[in-house]
Amino acid sequence: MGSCYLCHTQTLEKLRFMFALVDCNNFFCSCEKALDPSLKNLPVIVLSNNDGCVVSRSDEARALGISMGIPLFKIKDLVKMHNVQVFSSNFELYGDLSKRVSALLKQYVEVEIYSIDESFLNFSNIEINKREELAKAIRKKILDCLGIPVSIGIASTKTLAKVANHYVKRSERAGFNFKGVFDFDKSNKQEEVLKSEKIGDVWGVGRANLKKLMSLGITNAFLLKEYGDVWASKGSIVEKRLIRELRGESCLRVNSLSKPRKTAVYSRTFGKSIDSKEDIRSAISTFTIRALTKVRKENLLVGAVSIYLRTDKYKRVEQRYLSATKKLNVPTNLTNELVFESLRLLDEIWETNFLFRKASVVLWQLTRPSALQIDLLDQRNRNKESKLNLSIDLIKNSMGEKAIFYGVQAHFYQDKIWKPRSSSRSPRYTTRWNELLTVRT
Amino acid sequence: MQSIIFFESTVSCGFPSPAEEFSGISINLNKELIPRPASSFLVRAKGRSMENCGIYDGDVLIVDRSLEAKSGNIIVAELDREFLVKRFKKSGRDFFLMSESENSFSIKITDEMSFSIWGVVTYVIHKL
Repeated sequence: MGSCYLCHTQTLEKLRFMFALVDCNNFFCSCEKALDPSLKNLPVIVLSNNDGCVVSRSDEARALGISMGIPLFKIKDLVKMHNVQVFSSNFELYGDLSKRVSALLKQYVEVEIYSIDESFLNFSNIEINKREELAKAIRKKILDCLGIPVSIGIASTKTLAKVANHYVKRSERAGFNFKGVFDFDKSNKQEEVLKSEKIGDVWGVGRANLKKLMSLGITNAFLLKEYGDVWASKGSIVEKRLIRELRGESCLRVNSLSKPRKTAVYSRTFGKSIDSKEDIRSAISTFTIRALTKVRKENLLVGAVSIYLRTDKYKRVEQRYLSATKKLNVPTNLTNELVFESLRLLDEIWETNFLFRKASVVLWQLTRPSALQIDLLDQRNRNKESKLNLSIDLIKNSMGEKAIFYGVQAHFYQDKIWKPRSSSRSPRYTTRWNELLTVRT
Repeated sequence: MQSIIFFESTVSCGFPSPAEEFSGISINLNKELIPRPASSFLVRAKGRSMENCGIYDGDVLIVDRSLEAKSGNIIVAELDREFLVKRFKKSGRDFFLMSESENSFSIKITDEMSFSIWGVVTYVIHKL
């Protein structure tokens, strides 16, 4: 499609982009409520891994003053007094419902899944007068089929779609009925909307930028749009894009080519402290394998491995923050090799009589196979090992993670010593045959 | 002119199997029973009040939430914060939930009740 100076305005209009950001309201809590009718109208909260902090609150819980991220122990009395329903994270359930939301969205237009509860829809080919109608139909479909309420913001750039989405959420909370949809592009209150968006909530403004902008007197999205040039000129392409997006010039397309990942991390806090080296070895090897699956998914090789081990920072005992790194001579994706290196690093840093609480494995310096440098000293039969790994991946994919595993992991799977606390997780209604929803006849 | 059938696969010796072109086709229960997976859920029935229409205690039901319930359908309903499975009946502007057993009874939906149709039951899976 070549550009033509003689194009009519009408044709140029067709080249405009339009995005609809679909965001599930209080997603984890909405999932719990969707499959348990006894929770209707009750305040619900979902806790993080290890039941530490609140990661999702229902509207009723929010109204009680429970803030995002607050540790459970701080609101124990509030919970008791108001009969707040507390749930441990049920990732299988949330993941399954998220997949279903995506599947329904894809029945309408091109979808770019942004996170577990947010997606950008390509509304570029939708007639201007039909956009709100379509968004309302999509919202109704998701509510009728899954019981998940969503908010939809429509605008000509992704950044503005986010602003629009925040606006509809805020307004509905304040009591205005938008039926969950707001078309920013069609609105004649754009300035008002931008002014109501606090600078810290603008997509792409991080903590560092926030301080700088506040000191410059830029406290909302409107001010950033109007006067952000000086700040952007001192920044990278990211800041410049942000200003352009706020002004309606789309720089981030739907499904823009994502860069290959630079690192793969698997990091977990243990359910309780561990001082046995055998148990930590199991954890480290399993974490290495799990981080490696992310690398393999993108067909990359690992150039360096780091492991981190730390004690419980909340206990009044001598602390240890241990870490070690190994740069590999030859980039690899072979499980045996990486597990071996991780465990060797563990040997290097190990100290007895410490109660460790968290371990992380970081695989970095990721490269594409074509950039492989061959080390003349490399003796391994990589082809053979690669085939073995492929077979293992296939078995794991079709029969589950635990169908086949390395000997050193045995401890890990059998004793489950590191398993996170999840004392009040709801049943995995949609992913486990033995935990199905019950209906009374 | 004689036409010769050309077989794509390699032949080690003897004739290739004419069944070869049909290999790989099998019945996929998921596809047949759950044509709309995104909006379909599996639930377990508890109780005996629907035995007359083939739903026994412990049976698994396939429920499709994208279908619009018609009078006469077996549905899962949300009634006063509980899931029920009953036959749905519409009579004029009145809604009823009927059970299907020896002691058949029906529930008339009133304004005081919190009621909604959750989904339509499409299949019952009964273990013998």
